[in-house]
Amino acid sequence: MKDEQQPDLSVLAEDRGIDPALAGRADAAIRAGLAAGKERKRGRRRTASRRIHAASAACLLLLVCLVTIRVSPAFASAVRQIPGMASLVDAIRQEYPNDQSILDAVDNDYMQKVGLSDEHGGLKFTVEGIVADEFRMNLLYSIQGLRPDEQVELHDLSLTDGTDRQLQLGYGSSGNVTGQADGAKKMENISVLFSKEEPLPDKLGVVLTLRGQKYKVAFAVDTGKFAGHSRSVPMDYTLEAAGQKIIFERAVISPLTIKIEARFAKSNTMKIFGGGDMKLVDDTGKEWSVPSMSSGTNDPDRTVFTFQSSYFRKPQALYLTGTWLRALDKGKNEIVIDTEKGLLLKAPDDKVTLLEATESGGELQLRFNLDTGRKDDNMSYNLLDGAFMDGSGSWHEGKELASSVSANSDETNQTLAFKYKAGAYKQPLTFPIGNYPNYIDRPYRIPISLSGVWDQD
Amino acid sequence: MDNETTTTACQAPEPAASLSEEATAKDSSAALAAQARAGDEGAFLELMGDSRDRLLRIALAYLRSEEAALEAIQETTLRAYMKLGKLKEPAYFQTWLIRILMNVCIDEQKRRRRQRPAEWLPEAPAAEFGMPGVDDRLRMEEAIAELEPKLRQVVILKYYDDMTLTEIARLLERPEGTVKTWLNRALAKLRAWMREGEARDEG
Repeated sequence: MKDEQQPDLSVLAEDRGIDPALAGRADAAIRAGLAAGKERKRGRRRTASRRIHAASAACLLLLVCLVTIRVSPAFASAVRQIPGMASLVDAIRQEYPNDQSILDAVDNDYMQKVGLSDEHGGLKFTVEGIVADEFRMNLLYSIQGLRPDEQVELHDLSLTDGTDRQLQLGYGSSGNVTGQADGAKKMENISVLFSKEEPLPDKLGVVLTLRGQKYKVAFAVDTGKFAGHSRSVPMDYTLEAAGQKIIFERAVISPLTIKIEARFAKSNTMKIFGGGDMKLVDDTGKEWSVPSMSSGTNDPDRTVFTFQSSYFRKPQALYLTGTWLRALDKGKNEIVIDTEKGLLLKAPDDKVTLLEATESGGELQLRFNLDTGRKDDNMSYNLLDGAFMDGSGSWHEGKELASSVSANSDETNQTLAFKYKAGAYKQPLTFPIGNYPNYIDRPYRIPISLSGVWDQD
Repeated sequence: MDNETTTTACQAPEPAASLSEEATAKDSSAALAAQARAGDEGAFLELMGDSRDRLLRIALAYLRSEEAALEAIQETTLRAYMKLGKLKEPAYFQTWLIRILMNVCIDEQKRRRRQRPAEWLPEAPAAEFGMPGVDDRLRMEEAIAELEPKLRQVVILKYYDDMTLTEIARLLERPEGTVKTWLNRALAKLRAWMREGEARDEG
């Protein structure tokens, strides 16, 4: 064989280095493969003839991902050049620096400029614009005319529909606004969550009180732009961890939100609180974090995992990945306290200790120390879940007046305080647990194939 | 103390020692594989970690998509774990592992070809890639991707993983002569395609 007759394959030997990020993802793939193998062996041991679990079968669902489409930077800057849009685009970018789906949305002209104001006595309230999908809306507004460093409270903020009916939805906004030192207009935002009962309306009013004066701006929502983009992708994947099953049913992808709907098998012996380090990763390796606000479900057998959306990048696949879950034996899922004697009578284990049970000023205060024992768990635990049952078996709505958590990020300890309405309850009191640091270590990497999903465009 | 010891060892490696280290590494890998076969999960993970870069390089060469390569590694880990009990020669753990990976890659490629819509079928490999010299590598990869599976795996193992024909023969469980024939056939096809591509560029 003469060299000149051979194709020069030496070029293939170049560039042998492996990108550390890719190597890290390969490590995760190895761990997930091992976990799936262990789970499959467990299943075999239990019943030899049983069908292969979906959890491991789905690992065979290798997917087709041949192309990745990215948002063109040229297009992104083109939107900014539409007259009047530059300031809105810049303002939205400044308000939502950490929400990649909103940044992608404005780069794709997926926003509505509103620019309507209400002005009283030199103070001007302006709705600048909105970015919305069927699950959430982010509204950008400004206040102009504040004296430097003047602080005004935002009172009675509400949203109304075209008939002036107040919308029953969850929203988040800042409680007060401080004037800029140079008197320039001050940008603020409101994040709103929609629901089945209260969807994105076609007319929206924003009402609030500033300096004792009522302000209102109403406008028509460009529903043609914001509605009808969501896509539902069936998943049918069962993750089995320590014998517990989570059945992932579908992913709903819309411009600002990705919701992954799952249910827990009736046969589960543990209550699953959720994924400790769950992430949504697209086929470029980019992670999509959770939005600042999201809603759950009221059904204890179901759950929804919400993430920011990679909609505008049209990925061919997404992966739900993680290495551990929070779960607790259903039989251990309560804390029993004699609040008169200040005794913790029942707890899942010794990670939780009762520091204080005191009554004063009509309030019953319970303080706990919770040691998660796990440095990579940064969650502030909502240990107690609302209502409680007294010693006679009757439930008290026992409206939780307040709860607080203090935790030092270097430590695994946190102090939790809960306040309830005081009363002559028959002891002891039983509190269902809202969330608990009991872990199942189970690496997983669940594929969601999106090939074909974007063809409707 | 520990640090000092390490530093000294790094500064003055004796050639003789490094040779025997290599031998030790092989022995220890065989020992690890034996442990893994006996059910030691830590040993299995360590072996997988040691093989990671090699698996990645081969899977990337074969599937030409990071995501597909990662999927293949996950599936390979699963299959390897399930079949560990059947590993006959612990000393050849990596060979055995790469054999599994090749099978995973071939399965995946078959599945993908079935699913690939008609418009994805390339007319001839490397046709669009002009600029001779600039993207030889891309051209070559395109061409290799079009080889039939058995030829393709020989090329990948030989040129991406630097395996000898003897090693490839062991891995594929074929006589060395057969592997050599496959390699020659693969090279002949590549040569023909590359000529065709060049002719197109010039014309």
